[in-house]
Amino acid sequence: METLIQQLINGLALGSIYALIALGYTMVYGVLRLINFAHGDVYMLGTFAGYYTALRFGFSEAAPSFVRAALLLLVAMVVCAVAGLTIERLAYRPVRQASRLTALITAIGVSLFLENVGQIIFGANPKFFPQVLPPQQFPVYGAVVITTPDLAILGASLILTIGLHRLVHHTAFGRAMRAIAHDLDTAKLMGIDTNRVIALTFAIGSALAAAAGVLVALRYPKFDPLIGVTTGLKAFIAAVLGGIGNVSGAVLGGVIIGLAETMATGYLPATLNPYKDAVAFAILVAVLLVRPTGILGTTAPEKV
Amino acid sequence: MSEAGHRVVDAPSLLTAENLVVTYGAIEALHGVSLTVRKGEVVTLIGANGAGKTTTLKTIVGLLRPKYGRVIFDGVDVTGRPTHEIVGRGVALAPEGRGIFPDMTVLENLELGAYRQPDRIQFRRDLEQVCTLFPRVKERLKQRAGTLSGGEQQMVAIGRALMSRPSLLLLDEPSLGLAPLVTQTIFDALSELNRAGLTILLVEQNAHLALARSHRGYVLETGRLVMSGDANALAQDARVREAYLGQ
Repeated sequence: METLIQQLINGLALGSIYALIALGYTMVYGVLRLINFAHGDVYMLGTFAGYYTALRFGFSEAAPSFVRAALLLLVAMVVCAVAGLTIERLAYRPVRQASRLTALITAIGVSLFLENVGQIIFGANPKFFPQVLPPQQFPVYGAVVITTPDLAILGASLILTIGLHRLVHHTAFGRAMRAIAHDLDTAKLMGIDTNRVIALTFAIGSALAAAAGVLVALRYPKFDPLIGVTTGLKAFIAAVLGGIGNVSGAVLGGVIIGLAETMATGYLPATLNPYKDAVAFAILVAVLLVRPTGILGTTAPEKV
Repeated sequence: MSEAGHRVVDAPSLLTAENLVVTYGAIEALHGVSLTVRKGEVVTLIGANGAGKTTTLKTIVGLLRPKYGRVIFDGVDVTGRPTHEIVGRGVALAPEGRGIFPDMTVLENLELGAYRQPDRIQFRRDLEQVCTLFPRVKERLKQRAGTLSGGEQQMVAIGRALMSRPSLLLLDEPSLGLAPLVTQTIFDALSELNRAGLTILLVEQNAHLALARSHRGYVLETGRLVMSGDANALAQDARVREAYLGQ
């Protein structure tokens, strides 16, 4: 029982990370019908942005502080928002009128570019994120504890997700995003500067990925320029699982993948443990067999 | 007999399209279309399917870029300007097939129409006007737009276009798929809007009704204007009667 609850907490924390990244995939897909394969690498950039900010300001284990952690989060979000804007402007906007295959190949190119430039600039060796949060544990139930990083992950993800939900459903900007997702030309007829809204969508998605990049490093400090590959792929699976283009679906998918992965780690026999990464894919295949549009996805007619 | 009684012949031009040539890839859809809409007029563009009516409207509002030619709105050359800017200058298009956002509420659709309106007081005033014009819309404000009937959706589409406070309203087949009685309601509303000063350029397959409510008309045939003139005169013209009025 205690193991189960502990794994639930771990799974929710990991799931929140996937959810934050999945939101970026799903938002960009919503407005552009583009799978932004570079999104996982923006998440990686977020971790590095947080890391170098911590180094620059001398934040370390020596003086743990929530405020400092929050500051790292904010700086990383701003850096990646700018990165997202730049990627959209330089890589995706020029091929907007081209076929979707062209855009997809461009996305893969941007991804490879970021991964390799990352290795050149940051070095390929793993680095360790300073643990800037106070190392505390809070008892939950019996021997079950929740750590400060877990609390930070859950709290920050919740705030960001609620914030995004409000943005999408209760603001003019959110309406514009949804209008573009439905039909680009009609959105233009509403007087919406669609280029601007699409660019800002990239910025917001990238900022969320950056938040995930810093939050994850507070719990799993080891990172390198290729961390975006697997994590990005799993978050993408989460977005598809929940129904790509659907904001609630991305959160749901993220939590499911996170829970499944920790449960697999906790309960699979040790010999099968190396296969824990396969769990996400197995779930994806199973769900898509039954519901090709994902759990919350709707059968939208393919746009021509 | 035209119901649009007052004379607007001498009014200044609000919209001028000059020699528009529009291509889709290798196919030329418009081969030099020129037309004028004066302030206060209702002008109808009639023509068969594929004649280029929708293409003309899309070019005016900047969704399509002409290969040659110019679009002058309110004295300003808006050729090749982005659509949101042209909308901001006072052109609104209620597109073919209505183009409402089915998953949003009627109110959200109308809010989108007022996307460039920062003034909430003005927004409420405009909303009130749309609700007065179409009482059915008022009853359905909180409803998902996709659940509305075709006629109600058309009212939402027109209402949404009005929310941007346009000086020129473009309508693409407002009667498409609607029952005659509903069509009548829509056209009554358009006449009322025109009497209040709104300039309207209309594309219609229902040429009979459209000409009856217009000051002037243009006949488009495979990307070329073949006739133009007073709406009454067009409605009486033997060729128009044969080709578009089924008489």
